[in-house]
Amino acid sequence: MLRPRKMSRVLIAGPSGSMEKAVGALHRAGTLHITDYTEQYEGFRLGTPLPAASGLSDSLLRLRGASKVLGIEESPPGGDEERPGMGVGELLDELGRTVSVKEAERQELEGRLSEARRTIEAVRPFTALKLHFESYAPLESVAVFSGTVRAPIGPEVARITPRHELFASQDGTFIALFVDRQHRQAVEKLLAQYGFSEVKPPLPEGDPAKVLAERAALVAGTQEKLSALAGELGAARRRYMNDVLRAQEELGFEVEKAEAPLRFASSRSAFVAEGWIPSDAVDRTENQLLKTAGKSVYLEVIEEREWTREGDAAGQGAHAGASAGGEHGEGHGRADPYEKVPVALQNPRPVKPFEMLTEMFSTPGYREIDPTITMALVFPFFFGLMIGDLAYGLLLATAGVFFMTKLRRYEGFRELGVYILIAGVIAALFGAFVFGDAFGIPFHAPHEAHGAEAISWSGILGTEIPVKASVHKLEASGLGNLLLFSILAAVVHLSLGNVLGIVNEWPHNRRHAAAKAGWLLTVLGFGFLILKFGQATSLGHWLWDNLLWPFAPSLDPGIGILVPYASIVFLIAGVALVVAGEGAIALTEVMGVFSNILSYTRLGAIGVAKGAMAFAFNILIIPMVTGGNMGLAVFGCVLLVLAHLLVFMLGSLSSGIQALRLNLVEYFMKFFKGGGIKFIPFGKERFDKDKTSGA
Amino acid sequence: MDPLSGMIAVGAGIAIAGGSIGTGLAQKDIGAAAVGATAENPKMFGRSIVFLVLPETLVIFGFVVAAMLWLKMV
Repeated sequence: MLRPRKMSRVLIAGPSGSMEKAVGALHRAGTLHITDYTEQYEGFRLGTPLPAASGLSDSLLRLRGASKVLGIEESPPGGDEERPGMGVGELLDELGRTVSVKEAERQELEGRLSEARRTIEAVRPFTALKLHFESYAPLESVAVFSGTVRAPIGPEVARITPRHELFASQDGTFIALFVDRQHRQAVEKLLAQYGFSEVKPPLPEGDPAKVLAERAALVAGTQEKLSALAGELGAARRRYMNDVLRAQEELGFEVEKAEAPLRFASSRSAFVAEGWIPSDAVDRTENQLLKTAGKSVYLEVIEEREWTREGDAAGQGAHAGASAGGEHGEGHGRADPYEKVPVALQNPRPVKPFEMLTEMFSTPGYREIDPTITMALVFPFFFGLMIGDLAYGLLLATAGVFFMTKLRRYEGFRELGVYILIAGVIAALFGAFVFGDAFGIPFHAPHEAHGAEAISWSGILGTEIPVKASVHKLEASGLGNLLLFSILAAVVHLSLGNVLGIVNEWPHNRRHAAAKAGWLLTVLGFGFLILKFGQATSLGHWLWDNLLWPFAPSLDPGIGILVPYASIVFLIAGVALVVAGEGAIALTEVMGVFSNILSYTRLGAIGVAKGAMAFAFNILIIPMVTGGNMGLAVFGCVLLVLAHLLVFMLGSLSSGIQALRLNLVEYFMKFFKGGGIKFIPFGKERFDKDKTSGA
Repeated sequence: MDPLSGMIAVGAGIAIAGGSIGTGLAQKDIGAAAVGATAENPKMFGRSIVFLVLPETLVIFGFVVAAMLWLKMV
């Protein structure tokens, strides 16, 4: 749970003739993380793809083209999985016959449609002039002008010459002017003054009105055909969806298999594949190989990597492997023997979605503790605490369910749905039992409140809500308690981080582990100091009376704050350990611990800020709704919905990001190094995992 | 409200304002860099969001100071 799966390094070797079968077996087993061959053995070169590879790639390309035309995305929305589908070749043929033809037809129709539309646009102005297009042909003695002008020009032309004919649209801005060629220049000058812009007739002949009607009919007809075609493509989509998806997956596998030898070492007569297999899956893989490829293919475990012992201890096997396999130990065994071990996290099913958050920072190293499970506990708690409102919590949970069901085919949304569903439920619980509010309206109005500030759910619903809020976010006492609780959360969370740091460092370097212990003491020292400062709050009283009383005796330096003796001892011991473990330079980071702790007050701060925002909207808008004016009331209701949507969106976004930040920055920095290589097995496991995680 | 409370309230306001301005100044650069990084490699989105919210600690400190002042006032 806290450790990744134990890995074994293996070598798989066999005669070239058995390679295809071996690849098939490894693909089916889905357990091998292949280490790419880098030509380090003499006599062995990079392998070449299996002969089928190029044909398969080509088919896959064609299939993807067809699925793009059909608009098929990754996973299907259910459907009859059991229906026996057709083979890939048959499917491609059929798609070629139907879909490609239809697509070509569609493209041609689209072309025709846009051509017709262009003509319509060009012809439209000429219909106002009621002249056939033939009339615009230039004559020997007559100059022809057609186009737009800014204002009617009839009288001005008449002043130049009576020998003209002017046709104009109703507003006089689109004209066709026929003038004696003698006056051409004068008319051109006049037209220039009127901002003339020439529009040539789009066709050589015909009646514009008729042409317009014809093309309009063409557009309507083409549109009809197009929509029929879209319907047919839609039907084809429904019909072929499952087949295409299955074929795509199948071909994807085949291509992956065919190209696998590119990662192997191969000579004329033999191949060698190297990689990592989870130790508990070695037997299964070996059996699969034996079953499919027979005895000629040989799998040897070179070494099994423990998590905690140094490479030397586990190196015995590596040595044996080196003598058996030639020089292959060279490149791997020297620097950090764990650097290249792929990491497969193993967490219980409910915790699995949270691996995405850990991966967001980095894949844990092979020797590190996998913090995912602590993240799964803390992240939704912080997220929910910051929202802390019954109604927003329920909204968030609903959004979570929506993400998990409707949007789950998009990468990462299912996981996101899990986070916000859990956080939403926690937020609703906090809202109902601790903060006592929904949509920023308290269950019970504060005593001294009046006017709009006295709005409460008990008042709105007309019954007394039996749950009493123990913390009022917007009152001084509530704020104090909330801030103190944040500090408490900081002390617990950061201490946990440092404890994990000690566990990480202990097997490798005792001095670093001692330094981590020093940091732990520093956290406790500062933590107690700040908690003591907040003793005046009701939570502070309870805490120091019931939980922290052994550390309560304090020094009073006379500056208004009490300093617990425990703090002094912890800080001195902590700093001493830190300096001993990490050197004097670490002193510069001691105050960083203090600011780390204060950083957690965002838990309270964001809760209060969000509550205050909702409260402000409520006291501004609710009087509008209840004012008695019908129109204002409707407007107010719309405004209220929008306002709360805004608060909800902003609040959820910032709460989520800040909760993540506290984990990834403050918490992870205490122990997490990351930089591990993610375990990506060759073959079906990756696809299977995606499938099961989507189920 | 007596003048002392007024002064405290102004101080609280300054605390929040200073923190917010500092956060804003820091975030404008980080935000630009984060968008650039995400445009180049969409996988950086998560990490750049985390970098982006790093300076928000400043405004949180401002808030803490303001809250402590406010608690003195009421």
